[in-house]
Amino acid sequence: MRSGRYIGCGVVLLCALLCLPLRSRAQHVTYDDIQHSDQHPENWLTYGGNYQSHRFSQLKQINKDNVSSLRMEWVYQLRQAGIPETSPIVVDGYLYMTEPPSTVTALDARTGRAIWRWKPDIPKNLVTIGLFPTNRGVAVLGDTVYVSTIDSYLVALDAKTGAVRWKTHVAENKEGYATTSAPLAIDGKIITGPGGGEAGLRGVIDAFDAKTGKRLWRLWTVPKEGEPGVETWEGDSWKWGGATAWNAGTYDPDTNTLYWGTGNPAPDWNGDARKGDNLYSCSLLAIDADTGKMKWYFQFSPHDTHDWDAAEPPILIDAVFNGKPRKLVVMANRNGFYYVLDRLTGEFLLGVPFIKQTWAKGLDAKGRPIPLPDIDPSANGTLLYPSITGAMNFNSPSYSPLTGLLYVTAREQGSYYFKGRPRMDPVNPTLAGGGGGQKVLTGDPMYTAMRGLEATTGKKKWEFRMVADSWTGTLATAGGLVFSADAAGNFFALDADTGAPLWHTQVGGLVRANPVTFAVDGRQYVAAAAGNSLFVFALP
Amino acid sequence: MIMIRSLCAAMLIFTAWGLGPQPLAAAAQAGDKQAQASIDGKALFEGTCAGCHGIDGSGGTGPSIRQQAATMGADSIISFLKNGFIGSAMPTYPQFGDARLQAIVDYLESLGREGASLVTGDPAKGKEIYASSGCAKCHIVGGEGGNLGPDLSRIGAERGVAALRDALVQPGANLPLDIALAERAPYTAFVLYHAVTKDGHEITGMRVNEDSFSIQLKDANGKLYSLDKLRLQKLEALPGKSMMPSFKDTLSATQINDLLGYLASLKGAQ
Repeated sequence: MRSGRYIGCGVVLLCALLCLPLRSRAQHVTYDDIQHSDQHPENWLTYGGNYQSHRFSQLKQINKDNVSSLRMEWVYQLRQAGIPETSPIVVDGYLYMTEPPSTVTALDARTGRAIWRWKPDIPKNLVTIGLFPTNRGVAVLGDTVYVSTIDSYLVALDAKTGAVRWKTHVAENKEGYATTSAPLAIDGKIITGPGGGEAGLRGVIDAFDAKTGKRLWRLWTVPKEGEPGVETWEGDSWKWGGATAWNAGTYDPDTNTLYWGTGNPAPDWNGDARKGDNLYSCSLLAIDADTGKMKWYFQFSPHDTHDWDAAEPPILIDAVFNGKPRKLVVMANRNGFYYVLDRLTGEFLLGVPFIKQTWAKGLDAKGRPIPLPDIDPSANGTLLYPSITGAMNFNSPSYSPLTGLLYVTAREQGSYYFKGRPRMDPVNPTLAGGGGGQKVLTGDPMYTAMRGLEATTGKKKWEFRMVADSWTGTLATAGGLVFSADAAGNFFALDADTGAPLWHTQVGGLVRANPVTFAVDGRQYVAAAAGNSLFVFALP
Repeated sequence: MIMIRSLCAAMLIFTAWGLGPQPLAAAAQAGDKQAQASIDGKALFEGTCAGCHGIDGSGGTGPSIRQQAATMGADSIISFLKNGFIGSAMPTYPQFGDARLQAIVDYLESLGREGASLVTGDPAKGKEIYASSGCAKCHIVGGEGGNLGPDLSRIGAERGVAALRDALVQPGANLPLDIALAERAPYTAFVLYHAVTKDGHEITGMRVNEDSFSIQLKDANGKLYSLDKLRLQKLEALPGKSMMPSFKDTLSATQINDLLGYLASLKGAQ
């Protein structure tokens, strides 16, 4: 088999050139692999790229010098109607993506040809309140792919065939629990959180045994009677408090701590019947991954009446802060402030606006907002910045350890907030409601901008202004690039140091997903779901 | 949670979500007229649609749907709300039942009719003024006319009277939002731009579309220019200016009212 040896030598050479470790197509992902995902940049092993949610890749075959010649390599057209928000997972040449609402498709990452597809039976009377049926992706561990379905089951699929290994009921969809987020795989556990906070329910974060699907622990994001924090809810209002953990979380293997953001308290825009801070809504929770016990919390927007979820995946950074090396967690929050916290203690270190905001005088020494007068929604509308869709939303920022910058799509938009009559009806959640509405300021003054923020200070180093809105996450690479997109269908690469546009293409549809990068046989690819397709690009 | 509300406006999607319908204890099943009469369509709209389409239906993260009842018709909207639409991200609401869905449509129709009472002019006279003032050089009505400006065949259903009056007396001052091409929130339509390419070529034209990297302008001769923003040395909007002349000094107040009466009567071919 001389030819085989020559090919083998070629692969070794290619991998050496690319500085990639040589890996067989083993299709088996260990906890250690994910923990050291930066050492396996040919794969994209977890939603956030690594446990710290950096969405940064060491791949640099595509770089500042050659990105202008990037071209489309293949397109996979979804078999399911709907708007995809999937962030693919790539393991040794397999690309796992989801199609709305909960279908999992495994593709040959080199060609886009389907290997298997698994489509769950979704109930006809599916309840989705405050969200639409989509899915942001899968998790992988061992030889298993995990997906959270829209009707709130967690399903384990064989990575090579798509066969169901187990299926576990997470939460009752009839009560309004509906899941769109990618699960998180850690050492022997799968963590997931359903959404549906407007339906009159309490949020949960659940851990399941990765082998058996048995529930290991549950953390309620709203305390019940007798528990600390329930005093922050007036009367019985905790019973339908919402605060769902509806997007992906982050994990620190060193301290075995999960970091998870929570959504708004319910009802949304009328807080009259839920006076108090409404813990643990609009918060960041630090959770012991073994027990599910909360280590600390930090609430960004106490008693929120503007729908400013803290749903964006938090980013973990080890950096020097005020002259001292610190373990930090940062978030460019939907409420318009950029936060830096000590992730071991939850101590507030810094909070500065990263967009125009008109609701707070600032933050106090502990990071609690000092609200300006008359910011509550009103019958005739209260104009505030940011808008209800927020300075940020669910889309993920990225962080480059090479530049020390956090890349975030910042929305500059105001909104009139209206107050209405709320209704919470756990018996018939389809009649539940948020007690108000909004009217966003549109037209030309509204814009989004990709901003490079100094991660430890929040200071804007550069921005790239987009005409359209953007719901796309960002991807940073060692090639000195940041990839993202706008809602008008422009997928683009910017210089990570300056923000200068280096490449763009028109994909003809809304991009609402986080881009990823990977390599197959030594060739780097960049992928993003847009319109009703997954687009994959490579150098010629 | 309300994470997701950016949709392709061209698809004209209704995004409905549960944000506070009023208690509907008395509302019975579909087809129950009595129940329907008791349903507060406004409250239902504000609870289920306003989150994405704005409290008055004029758009937000979802597109404007103020004219949707007029353009789609009640049956289509109800079918859409029940069954959905390929490519739409919007959840369906079969569980609402026909009575509640009809109440939403009724309210939507009332939004489209807003301002109709302000029309005092004579449409027949207005039609003559339309012909004698040269409007047809640039505008199409019922398939006839020039194509530089927007098609006015349904302008009475699409624009309020106040906005139409502004367009006649101070065009460029109160431009509408374009909901047909914008990929998410509408942006201002018919804005006049002045562009200078890096090799010194100057173009003044009306913006037809724009994204982060390109802008499409149509000049006074109707010629389309597709411009790469990275290759321009200058690109500036000309606020308040328009290719359309003002009729403030050429028509009397009565004539403008009559012309408004005619424009407001243009509701399409039905």
